[in-house]
Amino acid sequence: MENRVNECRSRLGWSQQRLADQLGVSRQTIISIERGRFDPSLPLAFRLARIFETTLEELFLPDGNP
Amino acid sequence: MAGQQTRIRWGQARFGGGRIPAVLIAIPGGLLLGAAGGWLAVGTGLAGSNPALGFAVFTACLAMPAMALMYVLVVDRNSVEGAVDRPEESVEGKWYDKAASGSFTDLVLVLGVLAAVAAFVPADLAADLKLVLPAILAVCFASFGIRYLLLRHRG
Repeated sequence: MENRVNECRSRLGWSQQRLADQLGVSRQTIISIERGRFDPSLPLAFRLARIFETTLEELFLPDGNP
Repeated sequence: MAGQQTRIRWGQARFGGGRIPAVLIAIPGGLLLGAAGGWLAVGTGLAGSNPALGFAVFTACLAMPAMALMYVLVVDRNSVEGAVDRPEESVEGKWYDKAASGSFTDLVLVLGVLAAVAAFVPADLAADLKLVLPAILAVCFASFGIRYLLLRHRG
């Protein structure tokens, strides 16, 4: 699943570690999410959307549907 | 969300209503378990003709794994330095689950093949369980470890 986590994080000027600390997960988790190799759980996805003040639909894009 | 509790390198354990470093329980506890194993070896005659030496060897060999076992049993993983607040939502949890399920499949496969091969081995070529069981354990460790490292490498 594609996502705009990297784009949103860069817009805030946050490091991966800072975002990981805010979410209570490891930095490697953020790296894997940004690379599209790890689909976060629904609660984690909602927390990401809340931090970036956006919606799940805007943050995560199903494969093949940009 | 930073954790509220203190985190130290080797973590803490609950003890008497408070918290102490987990190694303060694991090390003496492991030594006691190791000594109990040594004493059992002497009592059952496994220690050989020199009971003192046998006790020392058995205790020394059993103490380290016993300490590791005690540590795993008593440590509060949230108190280990570098622990995250939600490990179940981290990618490492997914790697662990995938590696564990994969190594279980490997174990069933290895045991199945071994059972089939054993059916054709003559009865006088019996394998020693004391060697077979640690070998199976080593296969489990290797399977899990390799799978986990591969998953981590792929990111």
